[in-house]
Amino acid sequence: MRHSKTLHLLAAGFLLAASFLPTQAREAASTIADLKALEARVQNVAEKTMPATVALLSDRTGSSGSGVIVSEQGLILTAAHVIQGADKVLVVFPNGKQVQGEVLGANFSKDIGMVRIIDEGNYTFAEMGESDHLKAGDWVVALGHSAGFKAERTPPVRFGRVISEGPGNFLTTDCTLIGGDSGGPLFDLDGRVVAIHSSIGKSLENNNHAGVDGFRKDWQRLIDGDVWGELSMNPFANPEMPVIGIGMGMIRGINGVIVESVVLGSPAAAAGVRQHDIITSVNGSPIRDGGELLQILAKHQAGETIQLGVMRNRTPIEMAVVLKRRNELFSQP
Amino acid sequence: MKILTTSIVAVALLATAAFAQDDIPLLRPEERQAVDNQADQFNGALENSLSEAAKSTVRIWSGNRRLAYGTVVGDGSQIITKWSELVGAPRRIRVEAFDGQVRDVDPSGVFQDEDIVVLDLIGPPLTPVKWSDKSPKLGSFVTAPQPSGQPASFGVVSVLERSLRDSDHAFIGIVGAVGFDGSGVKIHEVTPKSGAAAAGLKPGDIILKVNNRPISGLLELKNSLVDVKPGDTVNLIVKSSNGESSVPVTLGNRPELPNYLGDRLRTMEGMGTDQSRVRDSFTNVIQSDMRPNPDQIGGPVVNLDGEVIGITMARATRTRSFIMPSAAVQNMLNSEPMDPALAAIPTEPSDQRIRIRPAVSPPRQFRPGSQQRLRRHLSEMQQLMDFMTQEMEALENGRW
Repeated sequence: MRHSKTLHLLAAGFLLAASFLPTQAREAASTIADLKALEARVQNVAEKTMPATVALLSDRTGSSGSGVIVSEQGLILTAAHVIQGADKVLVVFPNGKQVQGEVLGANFSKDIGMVRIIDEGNYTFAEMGESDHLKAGDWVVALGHSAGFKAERTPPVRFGRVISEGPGNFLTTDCTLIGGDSGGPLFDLDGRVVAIHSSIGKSLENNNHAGVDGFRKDWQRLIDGDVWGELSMNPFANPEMPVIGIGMGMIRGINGVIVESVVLGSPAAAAGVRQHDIITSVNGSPIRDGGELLQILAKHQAGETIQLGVMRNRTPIEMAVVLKRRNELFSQP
Repeated sequence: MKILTTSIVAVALLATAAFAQDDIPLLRPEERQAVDNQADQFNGALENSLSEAAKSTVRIWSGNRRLAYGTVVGDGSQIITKWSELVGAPRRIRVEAFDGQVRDVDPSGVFQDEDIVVLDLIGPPLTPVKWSDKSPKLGSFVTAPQPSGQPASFGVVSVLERSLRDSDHAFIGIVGAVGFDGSGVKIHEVTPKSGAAAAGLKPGDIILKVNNRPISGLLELKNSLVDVKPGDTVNLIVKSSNGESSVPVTLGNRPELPNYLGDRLRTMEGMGTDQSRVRDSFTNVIQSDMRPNPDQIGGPVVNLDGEVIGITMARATRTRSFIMPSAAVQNMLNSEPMDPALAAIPTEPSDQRIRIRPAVSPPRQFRPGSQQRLRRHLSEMQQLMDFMTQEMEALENGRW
């Protein structure tokens, strides 16, 4: 572990998360006929969802992002950082029509936010899908006003798949994104919104999106205009990071993570984890060191139950642990 | 100050994690395996659509350096490829066909606007491409084959055919007033000698409709003119101090404006991407999310039926590649090319940075000495610095 010191600091105390995912049949892609079926669905998604994919512009902050309309009355999902510092935004449709939008709430830890179109109307909207069950290999379609609204083109369509789950409510795909796409929609093959574009890393496979299920969990607060959380490029420092509540020992030569302390009132304490237990697996995946434990927990969310594999006195034990948010366990400074 | 401290810690962690192994901090080996297997399967299926077009796809070499792909056209005795990738090639240009035969060529003409050069094959013809005039729909699957018949790059149609040149778009010649809350566009300034000036529009006038379409603001005004050609006349409903009136305006060409991207956007455009030298000033393009390398530009692009719908024209940015549609290629080939000796050296007007692309050398010449290691190390440090700067900026601005 090159960064063992840092990881230890993070791990001592905060620990972390997991889930059981329903398996769903994924569209095959092994023959030309499969590909044609896939293509037809992507074409359909592009056509159907285009009118609901809007650009959001703020005079005050000079920011230009995207959003997606999810109700006939004009409720818009977007990214928290797109509406940061704005109370009104200009909502621009792909055909250039523009209307005023009122900024509602935002949770910066999840990078999710809401806007409502002020004028009543019958807006074309996209349905909301589900994101918690998405996993590596699921096909997705991205739209967004890349590099800002451009009158001479419609928001570009991109196709790809989920590459990695997490951290927390986020997911990573290979649908390439760029500035201006932020807040724009990621769709499943039925054209339902499954996530909102948030950030990118250098790799073309590192495009990050906030899952739509994260909106559901915070729905009322967002509608009510609450603004909370903090934007964080480090998943382990995110207040929404799920923890189990142990201090990790750093003994080399052990396959697993030795429990140095158990935080009072933590998920680990409730599940019966004890000092000097060695955590060897999460949901059946072997854990070799503290870094791997953090990595796997970061892919889960608070509220989920994980199966922790533990060695105690050379006897393997399984225990169920219900994960909590870091900020439920540790008050923020 | 608190925010800045936090962000430095966060940036350092993210960046080191990214460069220690993969760029995706939470990618699990089983996820990597799942998406890699899926990609293999997908590419295997795609190959069925590539066999015909691959026979008309060639690789262009200069000595040991791969420059581009090319497309065999006409009766099979000519090849078209990307002009800017061949300019200044250090050694004689040769082409390699799908069956491995290597042939000499002579550049015979240049289409400067499209950044295309025509190469005459010396010796017997190769298999010419069969153009399809089908226009792909939004979201259609498009693939560029390698000469070997495997996919070089795959993507979907992101944006339907359009011109990237400002001067191909109609220009009305007004500047809208910022902060005007009513419906329509309030004129702040009229550009001298423009259509708006000739029609007598004045600052303070409000444009309410374009050809009976009500206009909600400046962006909708721009949008309403997208399908109008320079030289066409549109009918405006304008509210001025004298009340509402109908004003015909004949539109001109939009002036070419220098394209100043913000530094952050420019950085993002190049992230994880080796961009073509000439990439953003074409007249007929389909935009796709394909990811060809610059040395894979110039070959045919097919749909799932294997029909050639165009050629790859440029790798523009992280999110964009351009395809020249078959009909546009054929129109171009019916016009008269320029003598290569007279053609200007192609450059991208908006590109203000000098980029050095490392040449691909054959394995036998590749002996990593200390010099090479140092160079690689420096370039990695530069990448790391760029990456950290980007992350810092993203955090400071809180948006992108």
